[in-house]
Amino acid sequence: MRNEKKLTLKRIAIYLLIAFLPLIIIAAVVNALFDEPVYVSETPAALATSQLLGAIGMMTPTIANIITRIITKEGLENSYLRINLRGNLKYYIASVLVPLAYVLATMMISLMMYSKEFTLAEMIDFGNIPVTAGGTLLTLSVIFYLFIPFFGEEFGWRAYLTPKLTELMPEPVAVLVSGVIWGLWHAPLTCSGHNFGVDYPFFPFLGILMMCIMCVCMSSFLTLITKRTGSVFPASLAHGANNQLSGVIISFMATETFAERLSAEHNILVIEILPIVIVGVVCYIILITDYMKKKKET
Amino acid sequence: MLGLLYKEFIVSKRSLISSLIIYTVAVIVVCIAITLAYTGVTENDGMLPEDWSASVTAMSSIVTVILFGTMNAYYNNLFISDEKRVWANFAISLPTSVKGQVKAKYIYLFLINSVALFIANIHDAVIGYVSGEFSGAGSLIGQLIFMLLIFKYSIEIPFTLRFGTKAGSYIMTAGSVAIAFALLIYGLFGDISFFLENEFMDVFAKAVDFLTSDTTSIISLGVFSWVVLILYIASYKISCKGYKRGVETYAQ
Repeated sequence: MRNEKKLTLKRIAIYLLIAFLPLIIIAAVVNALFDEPVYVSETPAALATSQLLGAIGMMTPTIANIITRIITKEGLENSYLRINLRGNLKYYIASVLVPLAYVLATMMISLMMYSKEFTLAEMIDFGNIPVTAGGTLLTLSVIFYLFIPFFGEEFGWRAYLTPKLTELMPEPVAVLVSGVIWGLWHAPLTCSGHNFGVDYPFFPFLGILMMCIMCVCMSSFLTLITKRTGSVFPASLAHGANNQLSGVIISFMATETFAERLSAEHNILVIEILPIVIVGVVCYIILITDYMKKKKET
Repeated sequence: MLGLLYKEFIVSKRSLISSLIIYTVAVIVVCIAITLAYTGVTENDGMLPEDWSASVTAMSSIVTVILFGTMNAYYNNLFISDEKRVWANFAISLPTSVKGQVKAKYIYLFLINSVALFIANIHDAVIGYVSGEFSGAGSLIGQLIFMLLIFKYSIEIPFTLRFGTKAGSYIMTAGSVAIAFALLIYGLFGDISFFLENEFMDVFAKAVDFLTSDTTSIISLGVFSWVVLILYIASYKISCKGYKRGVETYAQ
């Protein structure tokens, strides 16, 4: 038993080393190359590099999973690679609709917060509603076509780290820990201005803290659907929906003045994470209930 | 299912490796060409030409076309290897049954095109970095090609599985001839001013611009992307029904 725990710890350590190190090194080199955080720089070369950084970075958890399995001779056991669509269609649908719902909720909160300052017509470009619908449809389908990078992260965090942590601690705690680790993994990107930019108080620490909170909440939702389906694919789709949709609706629908105002305000940070926090808390309660039930049964 | 996907990978491994080699050479050639052009331009007067952005967009798009083209060129290999009655009968008697066999092919084709799209994103960024001009055209063109390929496969695979690769390719050739004929008629009587007024290098940039800014094209693309996905699933269901009958027509 003790040996098994030791082996799990060893696997986690190897996994984390491989997942964290490349991103830290590449982000540091890239930022040094551009003399400023790469996501803030608006030159075409910086834009291209930030896309490259994102694409490579998102694959590191999968690479870490594979290498750790090879090094520790683990094989493909519990890899969560089955699609398991039968009986789980509702979770697949939820994986796309839940992020869509909280992105819409974010939009609603933004509208309510600024309703005293702007009229509805000043905030929303109603003429763009058909384009928004088309753009949202296209973005939602891209989640399926371009699922590789999202799978890249989920195959590491949800299909490897979380189950490994569950072997060492109660599941609800494991979800929290893996969420915090996931948030910290984003730190090189947050320091490069990803997600929140650089123009906010206590940069980059507040951004890292926000990212950790967001990741813990997302982790609850993603772990829940991974566990219920026994597959990593719904989580990959949900991750894709989260990344692709956030911003797409606002960028299409908001008027230029309102979009500028939103991006200039610091409280956009709070607006952005509030709906995710609600989803995360609900999912976490479900996870705890599931855990307690299972514990009672055994 | 993982085993079947592994089998499909083994069957097409050589073809995939050769297509990746061709693609890598194409990317390297483009990057060298851009670097030489960039150095030449900046050494002379320090100013980039006006059509620089359009040229970079065109090159990135062409590399994407090469990538998808080479990765999908060996489509028939995936089916020819299974076209033996003894093997096919054995395969459908396995626990995965007809559905598993057919599903593996559909998933595999979707998967390699997803990988191609991901690679297109990366070369887009690399070309963007080298040229100092980032348009994201490669990814956009890649998405469009992906959708069209999935549309093509949705029609082609049921025929291939039911009547064999030979008959399947005849049907696809007939389809291609019909499309070419329709394009020819459009070329003769339709509005082709877009192609006549623009140089070859500008066509891609203008097409990308049209796809991302025109309201009708955004809505059409959004709807088309979902129609294609639904069609692909429907095609899988049809193929499952046709495969068992198709097996009877295979040679021993």
